[in-house]
Amino acid sequence: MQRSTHRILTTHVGSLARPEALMPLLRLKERGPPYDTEAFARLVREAVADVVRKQVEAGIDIVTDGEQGKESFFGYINDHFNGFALQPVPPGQERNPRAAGREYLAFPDTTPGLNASRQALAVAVATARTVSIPVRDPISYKGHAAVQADIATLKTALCGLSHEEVFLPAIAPSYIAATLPNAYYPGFSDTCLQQAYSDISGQYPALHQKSLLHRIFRSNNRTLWSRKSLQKEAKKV
Amino acid sequence: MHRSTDRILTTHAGSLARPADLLAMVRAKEAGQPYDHAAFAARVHTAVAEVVGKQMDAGIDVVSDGEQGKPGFAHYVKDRLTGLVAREGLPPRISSDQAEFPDFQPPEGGTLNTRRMVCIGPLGWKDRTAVQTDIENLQAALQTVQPQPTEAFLPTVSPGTLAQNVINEYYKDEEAFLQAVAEVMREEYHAIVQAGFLLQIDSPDLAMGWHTQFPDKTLEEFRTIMTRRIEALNHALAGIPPERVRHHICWGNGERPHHKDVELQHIIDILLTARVGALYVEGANPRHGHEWKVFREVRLPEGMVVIPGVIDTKTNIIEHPELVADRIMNYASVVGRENVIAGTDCGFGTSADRTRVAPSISWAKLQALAEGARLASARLWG
Repeated sequence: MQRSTHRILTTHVGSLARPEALMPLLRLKERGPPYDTEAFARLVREAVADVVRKQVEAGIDIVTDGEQGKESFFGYINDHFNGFALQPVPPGQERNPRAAGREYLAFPDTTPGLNASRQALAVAVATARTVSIPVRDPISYKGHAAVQADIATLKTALCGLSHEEVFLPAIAPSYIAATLPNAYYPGFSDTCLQQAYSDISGQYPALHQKSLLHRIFRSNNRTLWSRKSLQKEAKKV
Repeated sequence: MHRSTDRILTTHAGSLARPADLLAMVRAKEAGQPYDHAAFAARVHTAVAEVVGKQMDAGIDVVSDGEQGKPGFAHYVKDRLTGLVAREGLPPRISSDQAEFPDFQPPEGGTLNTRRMVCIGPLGWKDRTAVQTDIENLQAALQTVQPQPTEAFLPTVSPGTLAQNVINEYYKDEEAFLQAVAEVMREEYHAIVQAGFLLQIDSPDLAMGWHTQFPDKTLEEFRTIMTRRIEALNHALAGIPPERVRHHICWGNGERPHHKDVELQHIIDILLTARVGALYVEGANPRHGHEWKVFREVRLPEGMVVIPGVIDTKTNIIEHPELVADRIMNYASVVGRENVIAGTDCGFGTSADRTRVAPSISWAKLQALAEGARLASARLWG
């Protein structure tokens, strides 16, 4: 990882806005096949090329693909892992689950107070959440081709552009464990998390081998990532 | 005007969310629909008492009437002055910071003040009782709270902001309009001060005018316009002790790019020529949060305090009190602790029906302001 040895380097979290042309296909993809895979791949290549160039133009040193081919920062796991299945959201639970979070409950007038553009976004989010992804079978990694495609697309986009370093974001096991309903593993134990971790982390070596930094999202605040598992992963990589 | 002699005092920019039932009456009134005048007056009276109590509960030291009876911070004058009409169908002014971002849709939600005020005849008073009602409502509200707040203020609009918001079809030019409006509005200013309240003059035009009304003017041309407007304000304030007046400046209370905002460093010298006891500027939002450093190079006129915004009124994120305290400390470090009163960037009900910040969150933000001031006071006074 480059350090700020003589000036402050700049980067960002990873995701960037997707072009409008890509959105209908992303929504179709999220609902599962069929969708026009060729058109999707072409639009993603164009979108990644565009956002990489824009990051360089904006003065960002450590750039990424903007997650252009992913519908969200963790929703892509259905494509990359076995063990997850799409399932209709139970009636009455269509709303974004965060609406039940404690900060919204504390301020019940928050939603009516949202401006029009935010309300439109909320509707879009609700529409997109027609499915959830429960853990149904043993988790195993199947995303080898997909992550290689992400890497190839990003490397192509970088050709001829000045930059310090590159990263690809990937989801942390702890976030998946904390977010998705678990219908397979017995209980919410460290053992199952260790298993899930070791399988999910199959994506990380691929990123390392291609000399791309990978950044791991850990959005929840549970201490699920133990020092021991970190050491284990370090040995594996 | 009380100063922060032993702790950091807190205040806000004046407007607060109206209760839903009152808002319905305000809407009917503004739409020209029949409404129960007595019921409206009674509800404004109780709403002012409610918001004064809530300000006290939140820990605000210098409180206002929340502009509960007004449709907006400036639009209310059309009901009080002759020569003004509200005209439908005129295109809204497009702020210059929007032009290069075609995919940006400015947050909407307010329709009460979309009609443009137009000056079609000589300005004068047609309802002198309105400001007396404002005063009496606030006086009555203050009698319902114990202990009493440190101080109370009533906000009112500046001549320059009316020059910005009113389409002048009667006077020969802006200068003539300014003279006329200053001559008229001085009565309201004097009435508020004579009632014993602090007078707050709202002058967003002196900052936001650059990117909204005058995007084609050079900085020097804009500064000339500012100078003329402050001269009109000073004329209207003649005879009022400066220490009874707070002067609120802002760049517009919308969540928008704001990248075309004129920088405080380029206008501060002119702002300091207003004959007021407090300069009240935004200091919390991401475009202006760094401008406390401007005061390193500024010598405040004798007796003047700064009321910086340390709470952002354009976002529903509730500031952590530690951040509020840090912001207060920044200002205290450059102008001195006794010259700082902590405020919000702008109002929480600039237009009666446009609550960009959810009302319940606005009260939580005021609590964060008070808590931040307590933290800063502990650091500053030990």
